[in-house]
Amino acid sequence: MPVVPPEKLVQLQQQGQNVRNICILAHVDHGKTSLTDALIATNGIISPKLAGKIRYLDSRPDEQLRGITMESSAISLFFSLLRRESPTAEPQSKEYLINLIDSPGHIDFSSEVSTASRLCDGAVVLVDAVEGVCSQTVTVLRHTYVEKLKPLLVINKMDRLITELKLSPSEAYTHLSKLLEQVNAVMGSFALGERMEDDLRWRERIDEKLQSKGAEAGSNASSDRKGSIASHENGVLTDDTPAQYEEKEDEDIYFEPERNNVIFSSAIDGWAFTPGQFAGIYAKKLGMKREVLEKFLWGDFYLDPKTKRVLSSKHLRGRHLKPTFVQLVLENVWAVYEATTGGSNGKGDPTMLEKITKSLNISIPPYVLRSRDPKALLSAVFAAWLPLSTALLVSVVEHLPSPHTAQASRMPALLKESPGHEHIDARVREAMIASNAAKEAPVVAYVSKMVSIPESELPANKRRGGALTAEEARELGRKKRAEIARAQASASTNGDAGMESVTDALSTTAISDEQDVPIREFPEDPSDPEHLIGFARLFSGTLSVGQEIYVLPPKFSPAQEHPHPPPRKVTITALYLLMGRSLESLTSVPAGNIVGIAGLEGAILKSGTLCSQVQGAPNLSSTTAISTNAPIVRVALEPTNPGDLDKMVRGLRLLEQADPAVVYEQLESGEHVILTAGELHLERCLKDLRERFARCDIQAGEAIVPYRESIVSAEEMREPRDPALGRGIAEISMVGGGLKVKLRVLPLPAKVTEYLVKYQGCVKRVWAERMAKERERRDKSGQLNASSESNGNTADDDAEVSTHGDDDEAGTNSDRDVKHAADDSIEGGQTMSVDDFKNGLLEAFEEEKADKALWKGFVSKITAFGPRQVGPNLLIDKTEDRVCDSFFHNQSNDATTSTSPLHPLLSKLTHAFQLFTSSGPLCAEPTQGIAVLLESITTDQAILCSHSAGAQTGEILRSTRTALKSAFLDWSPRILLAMYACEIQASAEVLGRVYSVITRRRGRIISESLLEPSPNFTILALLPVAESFGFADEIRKRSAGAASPQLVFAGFEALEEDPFWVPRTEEELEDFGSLGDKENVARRYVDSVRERKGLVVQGKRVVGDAEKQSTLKR
Amino acid sequence: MPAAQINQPSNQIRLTNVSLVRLKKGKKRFEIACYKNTVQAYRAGHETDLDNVLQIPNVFLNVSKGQVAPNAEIEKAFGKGFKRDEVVMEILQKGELQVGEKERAQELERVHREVLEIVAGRLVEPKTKRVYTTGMIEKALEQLQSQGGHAGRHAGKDEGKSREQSANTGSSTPNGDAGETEAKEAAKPKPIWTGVTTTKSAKSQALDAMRALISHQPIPVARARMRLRITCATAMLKQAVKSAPSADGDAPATGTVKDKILSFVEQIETQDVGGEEWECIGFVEPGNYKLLGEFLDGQTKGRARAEVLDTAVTHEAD
Repeated sequence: MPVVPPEKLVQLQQQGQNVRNICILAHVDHGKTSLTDALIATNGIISPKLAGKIRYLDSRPDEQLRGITMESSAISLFFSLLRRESPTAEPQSKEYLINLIDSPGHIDFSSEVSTASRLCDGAVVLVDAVEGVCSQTVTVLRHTYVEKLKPLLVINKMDRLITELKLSPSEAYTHLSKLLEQVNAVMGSFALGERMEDDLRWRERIDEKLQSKGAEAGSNASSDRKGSIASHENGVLTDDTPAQYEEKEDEDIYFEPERNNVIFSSAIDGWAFTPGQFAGIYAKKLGMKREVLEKFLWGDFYLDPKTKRVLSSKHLRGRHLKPTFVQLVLENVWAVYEATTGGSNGKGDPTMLEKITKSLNISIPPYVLRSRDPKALLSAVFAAWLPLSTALLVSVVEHLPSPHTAQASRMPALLKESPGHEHIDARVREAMIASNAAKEAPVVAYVSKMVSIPESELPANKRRGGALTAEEARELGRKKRAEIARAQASASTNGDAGMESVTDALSTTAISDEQDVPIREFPEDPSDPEHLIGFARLFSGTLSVGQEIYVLPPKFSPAQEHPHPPPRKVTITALYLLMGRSLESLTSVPAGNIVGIAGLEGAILKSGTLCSQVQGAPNLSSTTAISTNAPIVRVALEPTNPGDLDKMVRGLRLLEQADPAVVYEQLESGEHVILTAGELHLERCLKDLRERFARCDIQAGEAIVPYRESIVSAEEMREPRDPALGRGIAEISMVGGGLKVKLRVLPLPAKVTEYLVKYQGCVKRVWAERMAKERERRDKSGQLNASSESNGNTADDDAEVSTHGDDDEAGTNSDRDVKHAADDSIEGGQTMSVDDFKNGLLEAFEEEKADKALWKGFVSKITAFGPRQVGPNLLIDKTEDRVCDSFFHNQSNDATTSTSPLHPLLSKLTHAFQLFTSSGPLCAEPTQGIAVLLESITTDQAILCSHSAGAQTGEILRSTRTALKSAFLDWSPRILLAMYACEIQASAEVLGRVYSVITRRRGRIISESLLEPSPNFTILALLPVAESFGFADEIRKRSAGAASPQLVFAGFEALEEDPFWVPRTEEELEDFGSLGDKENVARRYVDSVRERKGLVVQGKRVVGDAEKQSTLKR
Repeated sequence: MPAAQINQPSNQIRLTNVSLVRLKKGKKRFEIACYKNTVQAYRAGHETDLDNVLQIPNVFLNVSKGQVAPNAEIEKAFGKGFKRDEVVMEILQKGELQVGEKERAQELERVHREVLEIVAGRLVEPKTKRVYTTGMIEKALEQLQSQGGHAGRHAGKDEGKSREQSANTGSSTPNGDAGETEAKEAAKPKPIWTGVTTTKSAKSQALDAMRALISHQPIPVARARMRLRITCATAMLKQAVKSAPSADGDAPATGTVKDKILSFVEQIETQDVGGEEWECIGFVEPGNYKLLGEFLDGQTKGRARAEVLDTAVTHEAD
């Protein structure tokens, strides 16, 4: 058998028609990687004996350990097919290159699946014959449908039906047909969804037409003639829009064995077949045409043994016949199992085996016959009779499209979805659709992810030539043995007369030279740097090393004239053929291939588009076009050794690039937070960080949960502390009586707080502007024309507002989705003018009906916002002579106020207000929605001057804060929890369980709606961040993977419970007892924060019951 | 000899779950028997059930011997009319107590967390001005603590570095008392961190911890600076600094008031003159704020002020 050098693969890459890009998709543990093994074995990379066991593409140690795939990986395989154009013609050898991508099946890694599927033209979807359609099966089927991949269904693990379930062939047939129905039902639901949409669109179009015509007609004709007009209308309509909805052909999306897009296989035992294969075998025996038999092999057809004719169930006339599929196909397979592993003692039946081998005309080597392991015998028979690779690869080659045909059908739709598609250069579009590999054609490639490869693994750094090391020699020896085994197998195959037409297809090895084999005896160099290689698919043109190419970021749109930031130009430093664990250097790659690209480091973060031109370039990586689930598991990371922080941060940046599903954030609190798709994914990320990217020990922990504090006026509040003054009022006398201040704390109306939170950005901007203006004013050294300047400024603001007007409108619409509201609160108000903000605030105050008189004229008296000058708390000047500057009235004459003796004192009071609002009395978290009213201030200059300024500052700050604290606690305090808006899609069966998980975690359901036309429900809920740890995992476990949540931060929400509430009235005491039997949830949150911060926790006892302490040991 | 007198393990009485509270009054010592780990909670008002605190509501002269205090002794010490229960309460409130192991551990833990919280709020990464999490600070302090025992031996190694550090962190004033403190600081051994105690206030321990962290730099840290607005009458600015009244005559006072003020300021954000007023907004090392305030008070007689805009400037996310 010839050894195929890599040049052969390279040469094959040039022939676009003979390339197939496929990915293998399935639910977790349905046998993707085992199946891939069998295919890899045909190329002699691994021994066929080990195929299905070593999982070659699971190259990570943890993948091998856990037995699941975590990263998609690609391999290029060579496959040659002997085909006869007609039965008499000489068989012609055709060579194919198959770029195979093995994808992970676990839900945590579903983003890998979506990126992998975009690279491919066809998909091999596996389904476990026993388990049937699982949650991820539906997901991958949807992927294939959405990405318009041509699917091929493999019903894997057929052996389980025989050995585990011990089904008879007819039972197995019923089981299989049910399974097939399930799969087709899933495909049907996608088609139905699309059909309904189309239908709706069509109806809308008709309606529109009708209306416009109706309007026209209505103006011309009188109303009583409408009937005739309408009928006339219909006549007109048929000209441009078809009156009847056109049914789309949906035949081709279904899986039907008679169309040979279903394969039955057992990857572990190494066999697979398509009904067509058997049709070929029986065509001669039964004297029928192969094509005819193919049609009748699957379905309700029966073979009349006497007449050798195929009957349908109608003509059965009460006879008990088995379906053709059972009789001709399954029974034979069952018989082989019976002969090898069946029998009374599980050792098989030698006589039966002999009969079978004879009839199949295969010879089993005597050493296998003598072997004690019946499995070996089983696989030997099947390897000779129904080798897995043949069935699969033939189907792939026959049924899945080449890049040329696939791109012709896929590209128009794909490009249509990309942003600004109408601006894509026609030349680029044509080249992409035609998969034009010509040198002068524009180059377009899509990079789905960045793979991190240690430097020592790059082909450039591998040892070449020289003497063979022991390792290499062994490797070579292993290959030789594999070749021999294969030679035997193919020899026996060729001798078989009954099935030559099928097994003419024979695979040859593509053993590349030694460079191909990763040499692993290098000790792991600790300074071995990681290199990022782009995992890419070339859609048009030819890419070669040294070429300069533009990198388009995911947000790029060809509609923009001058995109910002401008796309970067990079030089391609190397191209690689991806061979699973190893890489193979290339010099150039034509369109339609999957390739590894080096030199993109730093230019592409996760995914991107490469194009040889910027103008009119398509964006294939836009976030809208690719559906990836947002990562939801959130943890804070910390290096075990604090000195390793830099290393960790660097590692995190690398990880974020190398893994499309990881998001890394650095929070204001100094935490380094990563978001991952699931717990398993998180574990993998941590392992990667520790061993490859950061190379230091890292601990993961819960991220700190933020809270807010506020007050409300509640029914059950106790008496005000000082009844003479009223609630929330405090009088303080400081500096030995030199300064007397009366303060009042009030809860702000809910609308006002909401408004302030939403438009915090505006306050911030005003504050920044004010600072800048003051500076500016000083530059003009007092010679300012305040009014003209302010006018100019408002004009600027107005311009801004007009451009973003719709934004603001949307923001004020209170009925909006919670999720969007959260987004708005971050960006909202950034573009608002001061006047707009003021008016909005006024309106918000107006809406408060209860104490209108109290709140009147507040807006103009606002002195400061807090905390940090911008927060949702107000300091309001209610003194008679308005001693403070107004926040909005910033042209106030600074010279007079700043020289007044009160000014330094006031600035201290303001500072105390800022401090107080940034750490509230409940648990030192920021406050929200309180107003501090400065009622009066009196000073005695004589006493004031006698005290030093330093001592004064300290005392004023301290006593003001204490006073504010007691005034705050005079009201009913509330703790505000950070909330996630949680969107869950779940099927009806698991709805109850989803609800129970949400309720147990103190979440609240907002809405539930049926997601037509699918049978899934969409549930919107609010979930406290504090209770969200492990939420994703729990909900997946409880719903068996049928519910997938998305979490988005949605602001703060008050917990309607006073943390200090204890039963006080007689009634309450009767209900709850003196200790308060039910747990106070608000109290629990407050106490946990206090404990974290080392604040004194009220009522915390060291031991619960003193008597119950152990008296024996200490 | 009666058998009961023989000291055998089986007839020994050990007070394993008893914590004593003692009060000396009238030259006599009175004791009450309480449960362990409960007295402090009772005094703080967290525990309200007296039965959970007292083993026996009785007053003893010696609990371990079982000597109940005679009425006469109580009367003698506390005066007449005192009931036994009231005496118990008196001792419970005022007596000296044995701190239980759990109580101590919990208090220590609380102070530890409080110190961490304070330190984490005031230290930043010098380059990015971002704060560290308490976890990071805790680990860094742990590292210091474990080195603490050997600090003397290895001190020679990075002596130079530490001197440089303290010179940086200390004020960079060229003259006067500040110069002297600088010299003192350099002469002092590096501050060491030996962990928290319950005897000192959390704030002062936090300051110690910060000093230790800054001088040893297990992770790159610096104190978050304060942002101040300093205003001064322009007329004052050009005046020469009056020499300090103290005995630092060896460092002659040079420069104007303005120079002196600016020497306190680490980084100036804005500085401008408006009318009669000179205003400067800048960042000041928190340790210098007090010195600056004193200087302004002493020199300008209230015609100059320093106003705190922000106590700890840290990087903000947006």
